[in-house]
Amino acid sequence: MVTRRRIAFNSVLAVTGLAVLAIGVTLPGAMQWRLHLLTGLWLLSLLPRALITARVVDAARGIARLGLVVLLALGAVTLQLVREQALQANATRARVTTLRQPAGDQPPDTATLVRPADRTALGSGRVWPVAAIAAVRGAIRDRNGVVLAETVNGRRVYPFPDLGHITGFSSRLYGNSGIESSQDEDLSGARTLSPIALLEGRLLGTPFAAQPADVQLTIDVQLQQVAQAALGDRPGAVVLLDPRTGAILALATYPRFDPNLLVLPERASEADVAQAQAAWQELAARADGPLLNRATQGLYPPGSVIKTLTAAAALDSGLMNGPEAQVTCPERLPTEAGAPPVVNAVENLSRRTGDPSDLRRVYAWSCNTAFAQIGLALGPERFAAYAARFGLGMRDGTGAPALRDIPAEAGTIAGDMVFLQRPAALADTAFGQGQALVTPLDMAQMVAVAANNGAMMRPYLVQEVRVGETVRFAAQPEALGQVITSQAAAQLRAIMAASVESGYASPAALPGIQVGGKTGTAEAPGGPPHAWFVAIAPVEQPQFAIAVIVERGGEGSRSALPVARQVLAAALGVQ
Amino acid sequence: MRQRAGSRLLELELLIIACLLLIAGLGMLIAEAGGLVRWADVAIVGAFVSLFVLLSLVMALRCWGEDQVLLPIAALLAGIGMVLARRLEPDLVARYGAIYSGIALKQVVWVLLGAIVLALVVFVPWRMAWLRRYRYTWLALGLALVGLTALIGVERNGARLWLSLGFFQLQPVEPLKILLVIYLAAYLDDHRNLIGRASYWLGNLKLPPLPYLTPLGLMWGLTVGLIVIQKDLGAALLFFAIFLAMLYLVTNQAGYIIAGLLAFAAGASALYPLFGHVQVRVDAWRDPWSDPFGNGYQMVQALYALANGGIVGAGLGLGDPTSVPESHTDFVFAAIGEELGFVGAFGLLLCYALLALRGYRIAQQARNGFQQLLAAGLTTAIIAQAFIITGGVTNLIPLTGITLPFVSYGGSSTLVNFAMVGILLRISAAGKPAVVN
Repeated sequence: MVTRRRIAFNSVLAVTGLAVLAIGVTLPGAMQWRLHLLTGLWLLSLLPRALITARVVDAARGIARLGLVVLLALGAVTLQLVREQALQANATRARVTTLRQPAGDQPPDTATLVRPADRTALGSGRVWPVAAIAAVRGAIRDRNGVVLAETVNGRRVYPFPDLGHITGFSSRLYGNSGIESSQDEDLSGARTLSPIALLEGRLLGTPFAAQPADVQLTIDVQLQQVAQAALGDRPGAVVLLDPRTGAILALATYPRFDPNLLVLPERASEADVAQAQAAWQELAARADGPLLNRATQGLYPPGSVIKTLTAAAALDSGLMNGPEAQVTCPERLPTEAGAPPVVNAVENLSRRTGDPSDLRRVYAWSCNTAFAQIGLALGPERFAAYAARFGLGMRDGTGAPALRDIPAEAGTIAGDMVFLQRPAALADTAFGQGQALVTPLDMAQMVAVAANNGAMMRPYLVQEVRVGETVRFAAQPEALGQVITSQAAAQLRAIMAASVESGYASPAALPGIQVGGKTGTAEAPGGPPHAWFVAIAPVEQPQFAIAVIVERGGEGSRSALPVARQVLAAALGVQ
Repeated sequence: MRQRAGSRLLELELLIIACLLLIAGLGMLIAEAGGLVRWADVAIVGAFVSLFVLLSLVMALRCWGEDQVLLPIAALLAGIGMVLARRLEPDLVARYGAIYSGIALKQVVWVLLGAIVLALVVFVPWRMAWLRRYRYTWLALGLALVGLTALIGVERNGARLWLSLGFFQLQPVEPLKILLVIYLAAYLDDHRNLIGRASYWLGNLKLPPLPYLTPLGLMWGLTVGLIVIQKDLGAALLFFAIFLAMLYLVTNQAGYIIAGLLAFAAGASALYPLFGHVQVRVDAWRDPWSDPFGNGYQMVQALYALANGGIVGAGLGLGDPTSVPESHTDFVFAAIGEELGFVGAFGLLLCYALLALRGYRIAQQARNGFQQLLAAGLTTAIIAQAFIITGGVTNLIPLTGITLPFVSYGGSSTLVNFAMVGILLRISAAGKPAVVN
């Protein structure tokens, strides 16, 4: 009877213990919680202890009690996990984001080298434990030394907010992106340290000095601003290359984002954090994708500008022996049974091209049926091989070589080889329909091949990395391969020039300078077509290759061409 | 024969379940890598099936009636350890350099050797009585290991905990763990009958009989010595916990435990102002956020990892556990909490709880007092170690560096833990012919 009353009393105590635990686990203070835990577990343990005393034989009692202690200890860890992983998780995360790296005048202390907030790197996911001292980060400059990003009083500042998609951002909240991410080891100075030294410094706590490097880009801010102004607030992109080296001179995209909104000052208040988080959420939520760099990551159907590739393949393979090679431009071209015939964009095109016509004129007037015939004559294997040489693979296989400095999508000519085996599909692809998806950068590289005597250069953005006067990295132009012979490239330049002299591209002409170009109007489901224009200038000794896309811009000659013309005029210094 | 082969079906089933769990984990890692299968994956599954299932089958054929739950739990925990080493290796290499390359395969080799050690303990004929007879040899061996390490050990992280054996670096506190439990079990069982006998009086203070007082003082000295000379707080805490638990089992008097805890607290608080490394741990425990980039750094990182894990975790291979330093050894529990979430971490704790229940049951059913103390001591050693490090990593108690049994990467720890399970299996062998005893 006594034991039963005691067990009843202990049951009450055990319930009290559970209540103490339940209250304690919600408390924010760690020490308060630990005291509650201790008290609660003690109250809770009284009941099983009484049961053990009542029920277990003498000899086994010690072991049973030991087991009870062990189970309670593991239960305590479980409750601690509940607290840390569920109840306090949000508080912990919020607290980490407000932590400020104590950096500045004093030499960096190795224990302080990782910013916990970097772990939320939504930007890139790249985190380097010592790359975190915001106060000693190097600057990013354009090719003429204009500052694009620097650290002022511990805060990262981007004087040209329109270049966010190139420089990227270095944010304690969202990690690094763009050049800030790809060149992070240089900008932060982490590259000067060997992995062993990093580990040693981290483990032993010995301080070391990091030397941040400055990064100089190939971008010309003046041309970049001309390109952005010309594009205006129409979604689209402009890529301006130096075809001889592959250096990217301008890389405009719209819509854009301002990286300044995403970085925190050195001493961040909660208001600063909330502001940055709001800016990020707004950017991430927008339907028009301002974080997408359309110039390198936007995938579009190429439209008629792909005829340049088809022409290049025809000239290089010897299928056509020059701009004067004969080809017809019929009104309709049946390809295979059951498939609709290829037709031209406008009726009676042969009045302009002449009949029989030649490569020069069908290119200038963008004759679909002529290029469908050329494509069919090349055959699927040869056509796909040339596309691959231009960096356009299949979606089920390898694509173009990656752009070294910032993320770029690889364009593709078709989903797979099986698709191209069908005559109707091959014909469509050869004149600009089908499954091809390309980036503006792909198209700029395509015309750059014509401009650079048939050799394709690897595009790059980083010109030089230096610490003080010491140059740590200087870009060396790198040829990716001879895509077409220099003779075929010269012939391709000739037909591109003829297209501007008399053809749809004629509004692109500049006074005193010969321009070669091709318009494109890419059908896109659910609205007006995308407008394309690609060009090289001057044709005799090309210095610039350009590709412009204006999303839903209608005909290429109306909206994309004027943008390219303005940029080329500014680059060449003419009106 | 057929009847015998089927005598350990429970164990076999549990092993198969554990194996399926591992394959699911590895499959996820492989899927994330785009279908890239690494050698370690094959090695982990191969080692698991070939070793543990084979061990189980041989035990079934011998039919000594060993416990059927211990081996699957140890195998599952070791398997989780191998999968985590495999998962963490690329991240560790990317972040901290090439010295971490190959840890996945190395861990497989350690588990393989551990299973061989277990097989030796279980199958090679030896007498339990030997453990008892040579108790002072074991003690001397253990103390010699510690002394040798203090003199010619290798320093890492400012603590001298390793003994270089050329091909691998031994952590002497790991074998010391077994040796100490054996010695204590033998010693305490010898003096079991002294309960209630003559006590010593110091003025008005009643002291426990000398046979208890002596090892108490010895243990206290050993732990304080460990803290002072080797700066190994985790091992000191563990040894003291093992000792108190075993002392309690013999005396059944909570008073000794309280006295022991008070002595430990007194020693620790006397050392607290003198030794920086104790202060650092206590400060980081009290409030890691007061110095989040200094002393509290590791703790803040661990708490952040746990918070990011949440209830169901980020998913194996989808978190960023290497941002917590030592994520593959001492902080492996934080990695589990981040990637497998509360569910995974709780499951791991359940495994230890189950191991504790089976271990103590084996102790209750042991054939003599020595084996009882031995089984209880070994079980306590494993579970106390798990508690010390999981409690430390989750900021429940001050963090003291020690490995998570079976799961953490490391050779000494894996070998010793399997040896301990081997001894437990031997003690549990109820069907063993009496003559072998």
